Amino acid sequence: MKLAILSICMASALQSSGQAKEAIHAFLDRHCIECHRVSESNGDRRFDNLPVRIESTNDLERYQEIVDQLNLGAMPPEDSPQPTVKQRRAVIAQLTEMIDNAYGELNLSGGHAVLRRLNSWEYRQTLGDLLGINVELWDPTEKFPREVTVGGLDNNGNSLVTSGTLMEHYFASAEEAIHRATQFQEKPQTRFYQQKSPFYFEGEEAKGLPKLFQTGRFRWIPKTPYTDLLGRHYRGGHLGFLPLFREGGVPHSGIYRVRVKAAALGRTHDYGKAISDFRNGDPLVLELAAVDRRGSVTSNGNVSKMKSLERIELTNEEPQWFQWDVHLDEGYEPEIRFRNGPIAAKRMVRLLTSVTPDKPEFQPFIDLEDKLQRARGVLAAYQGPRLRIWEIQVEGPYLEQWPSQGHHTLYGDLQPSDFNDQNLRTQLTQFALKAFRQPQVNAASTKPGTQKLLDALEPIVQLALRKMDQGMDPLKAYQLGCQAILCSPTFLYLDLGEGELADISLASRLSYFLWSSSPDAILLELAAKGKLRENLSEQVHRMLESPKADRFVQHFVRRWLDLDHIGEMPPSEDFIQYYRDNLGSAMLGETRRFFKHLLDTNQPPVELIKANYSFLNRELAIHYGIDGIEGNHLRLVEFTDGEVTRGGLLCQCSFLNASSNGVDN
Amino acid sequence: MGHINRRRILQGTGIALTLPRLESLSAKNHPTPQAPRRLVCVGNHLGFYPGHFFPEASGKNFELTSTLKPLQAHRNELTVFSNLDHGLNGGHKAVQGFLTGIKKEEAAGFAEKNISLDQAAAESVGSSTRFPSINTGITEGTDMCWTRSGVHLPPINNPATLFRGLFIDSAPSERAAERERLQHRASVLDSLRESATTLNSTLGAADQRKLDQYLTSIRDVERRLQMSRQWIDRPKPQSPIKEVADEERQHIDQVGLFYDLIALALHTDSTRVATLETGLGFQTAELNLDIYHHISHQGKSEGRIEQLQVIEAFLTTKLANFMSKLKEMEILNDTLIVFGSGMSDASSHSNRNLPVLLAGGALSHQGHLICPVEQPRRIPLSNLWLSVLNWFGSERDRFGRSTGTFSAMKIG
Repeated sequence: MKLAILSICMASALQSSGQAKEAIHAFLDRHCIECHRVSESNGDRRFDNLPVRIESTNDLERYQEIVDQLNLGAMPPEDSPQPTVKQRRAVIAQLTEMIDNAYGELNLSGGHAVLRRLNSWEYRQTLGDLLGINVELWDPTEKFPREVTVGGLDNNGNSLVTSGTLMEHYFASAEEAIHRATQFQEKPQTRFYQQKSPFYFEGEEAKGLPKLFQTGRFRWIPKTPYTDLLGRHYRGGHLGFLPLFREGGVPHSGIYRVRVKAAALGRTHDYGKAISDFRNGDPLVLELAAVDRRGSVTSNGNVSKMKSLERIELTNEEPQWFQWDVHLDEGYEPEIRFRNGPIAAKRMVRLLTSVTPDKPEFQPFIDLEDKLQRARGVLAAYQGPRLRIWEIQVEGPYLEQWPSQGHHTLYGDLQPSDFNDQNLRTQLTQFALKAFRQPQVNAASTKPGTQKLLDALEPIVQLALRKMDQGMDPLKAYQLGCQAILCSPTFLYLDLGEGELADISLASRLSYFLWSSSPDAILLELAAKGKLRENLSEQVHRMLESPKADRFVQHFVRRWLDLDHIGEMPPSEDFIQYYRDNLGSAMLGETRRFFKHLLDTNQPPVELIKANYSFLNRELAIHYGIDGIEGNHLRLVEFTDGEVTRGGLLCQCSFLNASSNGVDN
Repeated sequence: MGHINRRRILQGTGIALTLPRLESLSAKNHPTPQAPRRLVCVGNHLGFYPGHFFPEASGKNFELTSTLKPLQAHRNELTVFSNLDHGLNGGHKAVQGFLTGIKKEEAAGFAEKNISLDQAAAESVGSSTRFPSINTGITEGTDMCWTRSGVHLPPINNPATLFRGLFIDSAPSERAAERERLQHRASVLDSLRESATTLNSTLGAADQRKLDQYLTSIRDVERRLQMSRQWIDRPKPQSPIKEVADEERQHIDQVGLFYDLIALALHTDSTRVATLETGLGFQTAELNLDIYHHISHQGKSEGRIEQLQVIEAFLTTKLANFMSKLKEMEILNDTLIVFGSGMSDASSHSNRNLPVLLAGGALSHQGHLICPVEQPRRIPLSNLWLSVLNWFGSERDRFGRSTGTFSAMKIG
């Protein structure tokens, strides 16, 4: 399918035939230039000086604007002579073809595959895979300059820029990655942490704790063995986990088992408009988030970085245990949140006392002078949706292997004291071959290609040896060498080869295409034996079945459809469903699942537009006006004729959002 | 939204700093034979509504429009330019060309890529100051500043971070560790250069060009490293104000705070080039207004134009306060301020006839300067930037899309 799409993009290299050109310019003369010319220049646009041939991006955009206006039917203006529908269509088609072709010409690298730098996305995956570190929470490319994109895609070798700024970030990320992968210490013990309600503290106990843990107008120490969460805002809606806050987050990165004893109360309420930001009758959504409080400020709940890990829907009023195994990075700690509650406890007090002041449960409190007593009284008496939490437990880290595979890649079985001038070269060479996406070789059978890489490695080996000579600790000298390897051109640039590809280049092309990362040992071994081609189909299937293939789906869809654009023009805050129901992530999920479905079931490209099904959850279905979908998970929904149809990319929320300019006229 | 209490808004809910009168700190710390020249560039993403920005009459006796009114006290120290732009199209996507004249998509075709005015100026400062430039903005800013390799420089968006950078010395142990790190980094850079050179000899011409970029980057890092080494042990200036706390602030407060910190940075000669950008995400709800982007699509609706007016006057009020502060510090005459937007009328997404004004710098200001409307006499905005650079002391005869220096007014 991708091939089909690519071939559409690469159609005829000619911009347009002479005949078409004449037709276009006759049309422009009559319908555009009349008003957009030197002395008139309506709307600050002039087309009399529009070049016949598109030579630059600027020309291209001027033509694009004309096509846009014609497509919209906004130009020529009503009071001017109108082209016939047929003329309009013909010229739109001709102009579009001309623009597409010019686009290709302006951006191609003359038919050669050039040395291509790993883009940020590929660098992140490659570093993660090479050193076996989790790059989901820690993004080594967080501060990298944004990549230059061509037609939305960020893997055009000719256009990717390398700069001093980027180099500085490479140094920092390589240093941090090596630090994260290094596990010379004893295997960390699995530990058990537990916190029963109450989750808020006051007096001496609360000293030095972030506000989240302190009592206030909207949170207090309950007399019950549980604590109720009331709204989405952190005050009264988020619970921290004190045992791990005290430790500064989890002491080691790894898998942790998080257990929560919780129940859903008051899912149906009769507070009417006072609680209109909760959809009456919905399950209550409990969210588990990983938060990093280092360097945070009070006003945003003392969170500097956050990732939502899990969400679960609760319907039962009786307490149940829920449990997840999640990855937590060193320094992160869990938080439990009421994801779909009313906006904020503070707002609830105001609305409950102004919209529903007659409710009997509020009578004892409604006239209280003391604001704190009044708010607490009202919220304690409130019978609406409450996410009830008894207890939180965390156990971990569970480590599959210690030291990790990444540590092994770096140091083999050596201990810090084992490094010396004898083995430094061998170790650096072994690490470099892995980093450089080469099969492991024994010295006797060094191929010319490999020799080239070893020559490029030599200055780095010399650097490490010299540093050690000057008194640097041998392990430190080795690590400095590894850092240099991760910043060297041979690691950062893909040499993808040209013409008849060598197997080793083919392996890299395949893996960067489908996995956004370096080839694994199986691919490299097949390539080394010259057997990759004969096993190509089998390998491609293996690669597509690997979880790593999700990276292709995720990244390609994101780039192709410009999905990063979502959220750039955020919906108005009045559109509460968008935020409460997590529509932003549901719509991204919909498009990814759809694309993956087409890929997995090998559908023709036309299905991208024509499909009469999509992947929805309850919230997205409600947003689309479709009844009867329960649950927060995305699942295949077929549209029957005559009903609402949201089939095909062009009808999907994500596509519509990403291509809009955020203005509701 | 309800009635707008304009007075309350213009006064700001501010935490604006009261700057004590300063003895000439810069002169004391870094004696310079001749007052250094400084450049401040301020850009707003969503333009300025032309009807409220451009005066009618030309010359020094122009009548201040409602957007310019807050600048009343400085009217003799500014020039508003009509009919200048870069000839770019693309609405939001062309705003990033404000200080460059070149869109990032076209950058590859230019020797200096899409380098921005501030960075071109910063290059000519070199390591004379601790920071070649200080780039600030609200949240993500508006993609205003670009290096000569075509890389976007994101703004510092936390005033506390900027304060620490300007005034807080790191501990001696940290400095020692940093020195050692810089030293090792220099050795690593040497080895990488050698490695790349070895590799280069095995490559074809096209690949060599790509690798050239890598080698240039190495040199760039080396240059910066050299600069860091020069400054690492020199104490930072004393801050005349108390430390700016790391806390969440309203955007409208951040604007004033950044201006204050920029004034201090210039005054202490920590930098001679500074920028401030307000982007699409500027939260106008804090001024009791609707979402900025919605308002900017005024579609000639009076309600929205009135709201726009509040934001735009807020921005020019902050500029006026900044100018007063520089005057008080006695550096306004050495500081040239560029203020404007890469968009003119956000409602039609037009990038033509950009709102641009120059202020300060002891120029012989012209009030409202109407440049020629028609080709071929139209003047590219890049010409103005080129003259600004010459004023600043950057000797060059080209910038962006310039066709020459700016002829309509004497600058420098």
